[in-house]
Amino acid sequence: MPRVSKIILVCEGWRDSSFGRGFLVAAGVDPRAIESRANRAGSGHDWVKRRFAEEVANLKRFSEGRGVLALLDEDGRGIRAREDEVEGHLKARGLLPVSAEDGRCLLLPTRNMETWLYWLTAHRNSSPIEVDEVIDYKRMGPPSGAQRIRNEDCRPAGKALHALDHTRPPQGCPPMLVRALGHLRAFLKAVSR
Amino acid sequence: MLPSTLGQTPPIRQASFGLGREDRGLPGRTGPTTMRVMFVRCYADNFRCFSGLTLPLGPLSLFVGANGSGKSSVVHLLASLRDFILGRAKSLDLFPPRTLTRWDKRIEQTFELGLKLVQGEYAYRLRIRHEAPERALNKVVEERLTLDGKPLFTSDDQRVELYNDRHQRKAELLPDWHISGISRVEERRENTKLIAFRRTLETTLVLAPNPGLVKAVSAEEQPVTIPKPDGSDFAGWLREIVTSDALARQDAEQALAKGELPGFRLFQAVPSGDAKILECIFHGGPPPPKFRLDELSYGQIVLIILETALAVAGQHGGVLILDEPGNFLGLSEIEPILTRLQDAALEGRFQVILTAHHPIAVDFLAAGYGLWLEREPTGPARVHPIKLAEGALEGEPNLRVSDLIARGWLSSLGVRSPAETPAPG
Repeated sequence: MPRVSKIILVCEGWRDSSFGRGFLVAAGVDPRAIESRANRAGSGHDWVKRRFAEEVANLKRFSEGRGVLALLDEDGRGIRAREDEVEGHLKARGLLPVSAEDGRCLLLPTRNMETWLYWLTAHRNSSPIEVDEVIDYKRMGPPSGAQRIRNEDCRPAGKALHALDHTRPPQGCPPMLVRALGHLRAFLKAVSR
Repeated sequence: MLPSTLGQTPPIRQASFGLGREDRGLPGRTGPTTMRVMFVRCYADNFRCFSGLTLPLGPLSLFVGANGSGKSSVVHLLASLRDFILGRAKSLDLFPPRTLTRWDKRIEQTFELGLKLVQGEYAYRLRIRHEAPERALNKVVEERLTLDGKPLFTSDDQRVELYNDRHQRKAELLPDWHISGISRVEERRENTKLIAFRRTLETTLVLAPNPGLVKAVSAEEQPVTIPKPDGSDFAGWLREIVTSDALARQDAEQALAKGELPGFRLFQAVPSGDAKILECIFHGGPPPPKFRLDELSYGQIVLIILETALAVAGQHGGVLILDEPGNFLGLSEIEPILTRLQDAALEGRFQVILTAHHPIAVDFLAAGYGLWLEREPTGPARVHPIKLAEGALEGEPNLRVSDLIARGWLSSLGVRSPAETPAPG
C-alpha cells in the first residue's frame, strides 16, 4: 500500500475528481491524503492549467510524499497542443515540465473523460464496447451498446482502471487510457514514501 | 370529490431529479443521479424570517449567508415539519406564536414540502392558525398530502379524509387540532403510498451538533430512533443503532477507526443502574483505554456524531440535514467529511442539505451547490442560487467564494439577480 502524504487532484469537475479518487483509493491511497481541487467557475481547461501550475509550485516547497495529478480534456485540440499549453503555464512560473516520475502528472483523455468512462464502465460490466477517441461522447451521447454514464459510475470506473495492466491492455482499450495508466503507475511510485 | 381548497394553492413545482451542476446551469461537470428520495422544495410563509419563501432543494444544497439570514431557520423548519408529520410533538410545541414573523400581522402560517420518491412526487401542505397568540393557542386548520396531484390525505379543522393508494376516499375521522393526522394513520395494505411518505421522514436526520450538551448516559425508556438536532441524546440513539442497525454501527466504527479518530476501536454501552453509559474503546493496554463519550474533546464528539449520521444515512438512504458541520472540527477534518457528503449526494446514496459559514465548506461547495440567503435586518429572507458568472474571477486567480462573501462582493459577482431567479410555484 503506497504511503502518500498528499496528492492534489486538479480536475474540471466532480466527475473527473470522483474517477481520479476511485483509481487512487483502489491503489491503496488513504482517501484523506487526496485533496480534490475541482473547477469552481469559468472556463474549465484554463482553470485546470493554471491551478496545476500553482500546485506544482507548492509541490516544489513541500515535496516529500506529495504529488499533483491533473485531468484535462483534450477537447479536440490535439494532445501535443494541450501539453504545450500546460507546459507554457509551468514555464511561465519557472517550473520543471510535466513528469509523472517526479510527481507532476497530467492525464489527457481524448476527446474527453466520457470516452474513458464509457469504455471502463462497459469493461467493468463485462459487456465490452468500441469507442472512438475522435467522437465527443459528451455531446453526442453514449456509444452504441452503452448506457448514459451516471455520477455513481465514475468512482467504479476509476477502480476498474486500476485493475488493468497497462503493459497488456485489453483489446479495444483507448490508447490514451493505456498511456494514462502507465503515467499513473509511475506517478504512484514517485509519490510513495 | 376533493375539498375545494385543493385547487386554490399553487401546485408544488416539478423539480428535476438531476439537479447537478450542469442541470442548474452551473459550471463544472456532474450529471444526473439516481437518487430515490429527495426533498425538492420547501415553502414557508409567516414563519420566523420567511415570508412566502420557497427553498429549492437539490441532491446537494449548501445554504450560505450572513448571521441572521435564515440558515438555521431552514434547519429548524425542516426538523419541525418532520417532527410534526411523525407525531413526535404537537403544533403548540413546534410552531409556537414566537415563530410567527414579527412584522407580519397575519395569524396563519403555511408550510409546504415537496418530496420525490419512486412512487412519484408528494406535496405536503400544512396551515396553522394562531387563534390567540397571547395564550399560545394554535390549531391545524389544513393538512393535506397528495401524490402527483392526487389526494392521499386531507383535513381541515372539522374533518379528516383518508384516501387509499388508488386515491379513493376510504375513511372520515375527527381531527385533532394539534397533532398531525398523517402521524395517526395506521399502516394498512391499501395505504402504502402514504406510509412511504412517512417512512421517508423517519429516515430524515437533522443535526446541529452541540457537543457541550451531549451526554454519555442514556436512560431513555423509549428508544431514540431519531436523535435531537443538538445531539444531546446521541448516546441513546447509538444504543438504539447498536441493537437495531448493526451494519450502520459497524460502518461508523470502521470509519472512525480508519480515519478521523486515530486509535479508536469501538463503542460500548455499559449498564449503570437503569441507564447505560456510552464508552469509546481505543487501542492500547491491556486493559484497553476507555473514555466516556462526554470525556472526549468537542471536536471528537462532533466527529463521532457525523460519522454515525453518515453511516446511518448510507445504510438507509433518505435525507441528511446538517447545520454547520464544520464547527468544532480541525481544519484537516472538514474537507474529507465534505467530500464524502458530496460523493454520497451526487452518487444518489442520500440527499444532503447543509448550512455553513466555514470558508472551507463555502469554497468547496458553494460555487456548485450554494444557495445564498440574505435579508434586511427586519425584512424577509430571500434565497438565490449562487452562480459564478463565466469569467467572474478572471484576473483574480486566488480569489475564493469565501473571499467574495467576506468582501461583500458576492451579490455583484456571483449571485444571480432576483430577476433571474425562477419565480416560486
